[in-house]
Amino acid sequence: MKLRRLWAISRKEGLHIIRDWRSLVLALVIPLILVLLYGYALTLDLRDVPTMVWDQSRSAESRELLSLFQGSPYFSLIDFPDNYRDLQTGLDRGRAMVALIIPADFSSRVKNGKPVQIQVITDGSDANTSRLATTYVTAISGIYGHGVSLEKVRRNGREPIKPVVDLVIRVWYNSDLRSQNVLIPGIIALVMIVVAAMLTSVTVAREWETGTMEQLISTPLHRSELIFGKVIPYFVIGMTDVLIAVVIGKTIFHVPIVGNSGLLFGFSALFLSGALFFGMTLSIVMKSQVLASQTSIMAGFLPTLILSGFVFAIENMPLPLQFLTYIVPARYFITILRGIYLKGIGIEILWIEGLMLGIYTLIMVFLAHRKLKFKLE
Amino acid sequence: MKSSVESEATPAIRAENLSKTFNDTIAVDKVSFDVYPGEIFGLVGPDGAGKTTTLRLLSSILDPSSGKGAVAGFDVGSASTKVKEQLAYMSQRFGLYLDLSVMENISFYADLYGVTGSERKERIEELLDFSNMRPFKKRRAGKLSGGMKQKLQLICALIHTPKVLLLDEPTNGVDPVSRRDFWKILYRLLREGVSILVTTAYLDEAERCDRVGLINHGRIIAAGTPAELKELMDDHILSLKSSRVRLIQHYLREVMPDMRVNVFGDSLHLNCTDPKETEQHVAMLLNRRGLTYSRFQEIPPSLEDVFVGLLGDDRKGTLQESESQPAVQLTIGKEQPPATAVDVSHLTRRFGNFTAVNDVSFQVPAGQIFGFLGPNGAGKSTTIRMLCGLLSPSDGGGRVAGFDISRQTEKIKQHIGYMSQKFSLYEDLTVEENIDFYGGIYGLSGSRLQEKKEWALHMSALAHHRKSLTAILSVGWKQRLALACAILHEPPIIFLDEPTSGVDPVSRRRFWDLIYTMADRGITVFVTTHYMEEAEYCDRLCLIYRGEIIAMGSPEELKDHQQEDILDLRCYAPQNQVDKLLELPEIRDVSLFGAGLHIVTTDTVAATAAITETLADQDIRIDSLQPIAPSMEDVFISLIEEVDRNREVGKKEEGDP
Repeated sequence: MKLRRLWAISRKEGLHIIRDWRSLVLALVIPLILVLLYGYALTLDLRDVPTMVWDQSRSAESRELLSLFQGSPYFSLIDFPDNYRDLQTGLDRGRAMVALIIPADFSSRVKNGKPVQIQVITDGSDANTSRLATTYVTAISGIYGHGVSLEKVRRNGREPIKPVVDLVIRVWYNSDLRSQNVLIPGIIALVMIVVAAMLTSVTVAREWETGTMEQLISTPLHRSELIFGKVIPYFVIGMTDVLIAVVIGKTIFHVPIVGNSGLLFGFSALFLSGALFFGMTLSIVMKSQVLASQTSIMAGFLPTLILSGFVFAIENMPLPLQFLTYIVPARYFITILRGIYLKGIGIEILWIEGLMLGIYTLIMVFLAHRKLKFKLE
Repeated sequence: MKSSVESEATPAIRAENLSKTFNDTIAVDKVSFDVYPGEIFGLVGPDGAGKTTTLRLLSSILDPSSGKGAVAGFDVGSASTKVKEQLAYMSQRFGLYLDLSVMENISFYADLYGVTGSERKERIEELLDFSNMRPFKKRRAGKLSGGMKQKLQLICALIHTPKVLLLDEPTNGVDPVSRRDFWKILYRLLREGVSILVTTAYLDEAERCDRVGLINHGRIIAAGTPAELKELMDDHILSLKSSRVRLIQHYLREVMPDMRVNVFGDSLHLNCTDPKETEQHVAMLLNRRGLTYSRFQEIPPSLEDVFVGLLGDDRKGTLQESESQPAVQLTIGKEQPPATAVDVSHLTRRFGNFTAVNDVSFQVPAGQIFGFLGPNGAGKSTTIRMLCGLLSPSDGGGRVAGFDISRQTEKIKQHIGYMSQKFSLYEDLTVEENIDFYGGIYGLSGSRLQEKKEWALHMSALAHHRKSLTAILSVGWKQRLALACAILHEPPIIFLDEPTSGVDPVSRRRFWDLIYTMADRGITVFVTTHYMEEAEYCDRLCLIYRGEIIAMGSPEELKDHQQEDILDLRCYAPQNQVDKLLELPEIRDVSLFGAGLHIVTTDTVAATAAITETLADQDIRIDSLQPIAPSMEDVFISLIEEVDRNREVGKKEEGDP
């Protein structure tokens, strides 16, 4: 491999990118848009669930219960109808996701220390939210019930009984349980695979399509010079994209980086290389710009979105799918990113994932060389 | 490595029983030849004969199925790296990056070949100088004209001072002036000891080669010096000039069906065994019919005679098949076409501050073959696009087929056929599917489409290939199919933009036969070409240069207009004499022409004396030196140089008042 020829290819490729400013803008704007889009749209947190309440009791007790809901960030009481029909319409139209019906005898039963039933209707067409909301409703009513019995005990002049087991819950790594803290690292992986594979997937195919390849292969140029030379400028763009994503994560979504950011960029470089060589291999095999770029998006984007543990927990997948996730490089990268971002762990734990990414990159480099024929057929 | 001390006997290029088979077709079949240092070997043959494959095998970018090839002593199979260091290959497809500037392209190739330091600087300077590309250093390659692109590609290929140069149709689609420049560079390289293997569709270029190999169906059927090849012709060639050669050809083919009669520019060539007797017989026949002619004489055969002679027969089968089956009668629409097919005045088109077409006015009467000539980038294609309603003029206007070119573009599109330089056919469709598609676009269906399809298949002689994929057809066939598709809707006018570019001589003849058939049926044909002998086939010519019309008239008128005289010089290595002769005050211009030189002068006698003296000083024997009637190429070059001279003068006067 001659450095001069490698440099010649890189320089030329760089000029192509600069001259075709639209593709350059695309390469820098797409990650921006993707990060913002996913960052804002894809949130798994339950907040401000629109809730309707039919308070048949209209008592101090019921108001106390409702104030607990009002005070919670998870619910937002939007309407107080006084009949069942309005409640149903609200749920039907999707204005509300939860409906509470407090019975007329709520106050008297609470006062007399009798058990009381509150009807909770949730919109099961959004199963996830529905399940979460139910849990929160249960928690809130628990708090209310606990408060009521404490009050009763106090009024009777007795010491409250201490619970046998007192749970002291501490959430490590993401104490607020903000889903964005978990998602942004995944988004970085997603953005990188989409942009990187898309960029390199056209480069070799373009040379075949315009006929310049025939000229290139008649020169002393070596395969590795072409492959590495072409990757270099896209690597620069890819790392810029990582920087953009990290900065947006930090400034706009306030995702802290607990670990070493140098390590973060180091692993990103490794993952990026794998993605770039993956796109390059597609370009070499397909020899068609359109085909290669479409394939790269399908083969890069979908597995990363679905099989990497980005959104869907790998542990919940059926076993065959779980095995499949082992060949998705983003799986390892997302583990690394979350490790660095949230846990602040270092190479002493993440080296296995790093090794897997390294192997993946090497396989892609090998395939690119193997498939690139410096001969006509 | 640099000092080549090979003996004269070591060939720089060697092909030994070189063969290549693709699936079951044999592309190259046991080809053997040697090319020595300082020699240029021309590979000539019809499209699909195996020329390109041979070059690819020798440049070691394609592996041979059997046989051996060697470049500078290195085997193309086993020592491909060494081979690539010694050779420069220019493929038919562009090796340039159009979004890079001239200098960036050169630097890129310099880096690839590892040319560095002062050597690199000197080499680039030298190449820029002798290609006259220096003023365009910063220009993007995509903005260069076709001729300049080819020169740039050659510079890129020459950057590492290769020992062997493989050129695949390097002057394809390049105008005569640029072609001449290109050959000057090649001659210089030969003097430096480079070996060149070139394929070409221009037989006058083949005449300049030291040796020529005639290739057909993958086999070299004849090889030798141009003179040796010509001796293969047993027949004698009789030539006569006439302004109505086509008519005479038609007549003679009718009355003397056994004799081969071919049109060469404004001449008719008759192949015969007994020239005296044939001359008398033909003269008698023509006089009786009242067909006028001049200069009826026996001439030495040209390479094109040999080419057509050796390969023309091979295709006679298909040729006659289509001729014998009368094509479905082509009827021109019910409405009578206007007497003037094209009438434009003051047509101007500007792109930004660049004027591509400047104040162009002309008329084309219906039924004429109107030739539109000019160097690459002169504004031909831009004009045609405006006439076809594809581009609106910045100024001026006109009518095509009676419709306004600015306002009635939809009407125009229905009444014209247009065949662009680029292939308009879909390569992944079959011949028939392409015809169906274009028929559909023009609104044909049912039995009407069927009828037109059969007609198109017969016209393009592709009836046997109707189910073939278009991609596998040779260039000549594709062009015939493209033409057939362009006239499915029976337009009264057809625009052909360089239809024969890169097509071999025999196929080119067939294409022009088609053009004549159309003209005979009253279709107006508007055609651009870089082949000057094809310009002679036109009824009227318009020469455009730098966006302006610089001459217009019939081929005869243009040639008569030529005020200077032309001397034809044949001698040993004429290319070495160009610079010396240019220094003579009696001589205005010297250009390579076929295997000789054409010398432009205003005083034939004085020039003859001066040339004789110059050559005598160098002990070079003159094979022949005689005044000749100017060819279209002479006229073309002299008109363009006249414009350039006037511009120079104009600039100088502006410069110092």
